Amino acid sequence: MEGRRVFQFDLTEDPIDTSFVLSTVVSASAGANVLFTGTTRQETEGVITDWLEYDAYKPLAERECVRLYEQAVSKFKIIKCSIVHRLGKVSVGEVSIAVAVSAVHRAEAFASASWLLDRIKEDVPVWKRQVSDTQAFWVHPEQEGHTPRGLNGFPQECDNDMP
Amino acid sequence: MRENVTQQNDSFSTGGTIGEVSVKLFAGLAESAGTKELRVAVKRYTVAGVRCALEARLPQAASLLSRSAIAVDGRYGTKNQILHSKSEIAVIPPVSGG
Repeated sequence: MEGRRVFQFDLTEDPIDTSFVLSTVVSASAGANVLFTGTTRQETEGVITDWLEYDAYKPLAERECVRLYEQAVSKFKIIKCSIVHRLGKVSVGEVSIAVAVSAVHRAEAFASASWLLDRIKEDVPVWKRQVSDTQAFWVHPEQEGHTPRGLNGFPQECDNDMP
Repeated sequence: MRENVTQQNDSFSTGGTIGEVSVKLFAGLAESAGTKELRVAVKRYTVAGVRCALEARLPQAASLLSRSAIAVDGRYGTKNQILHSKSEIAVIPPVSGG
């Protein structure tokens, strides 16, 4: 049964039901449906991860995902899209993000899912904390060659004398 | 007018600041500040004013702050954007979702 909503977004503390996420983008107009899932990896550049913790600024995260969906419709003519990101503790092997896209043909479905993931990882205010038995730290990547959204007009000089 | 702001009239004793605003912090910034919400004294009710106030308040987080954006009411703010009553201000360090 085809749902009427063309874009769905959720941030959840609960395990992500990836089959359900995929089912929400099914459309009679679509010939291709792509589901991407990101999972917690045990090793990153030699550092063992026991689990990840995710936090988000929800109002801006939702607004940014809506903006990315609208851009994906324009660029790839996608039909439906669903983005679900997990918050809180996510153990190794568990799904932290699911992105599902439907399109008329597979090329647009694959390309749009890949593009959406790239944009989400640069623009959407979600953060991971990498935890192991020896260390825990928030991940704030240097974004070489990409000015983070909202940084236009900065850096600035702070005048300490003028009110 | 500004419910998010505490007016302070004595500029002599407050080092030129004109009031305070509440700022939401996340991830490494919250960890560095030891809190997820901070009140900072500002000299201007603008996004740039908040950034300057944060740099003065959190020198230990200077590097991360320099790479952070500031959001107002759930949207990325611009440098000279003026803060209004009930504005929700949030500092957005480099993201790492997915």
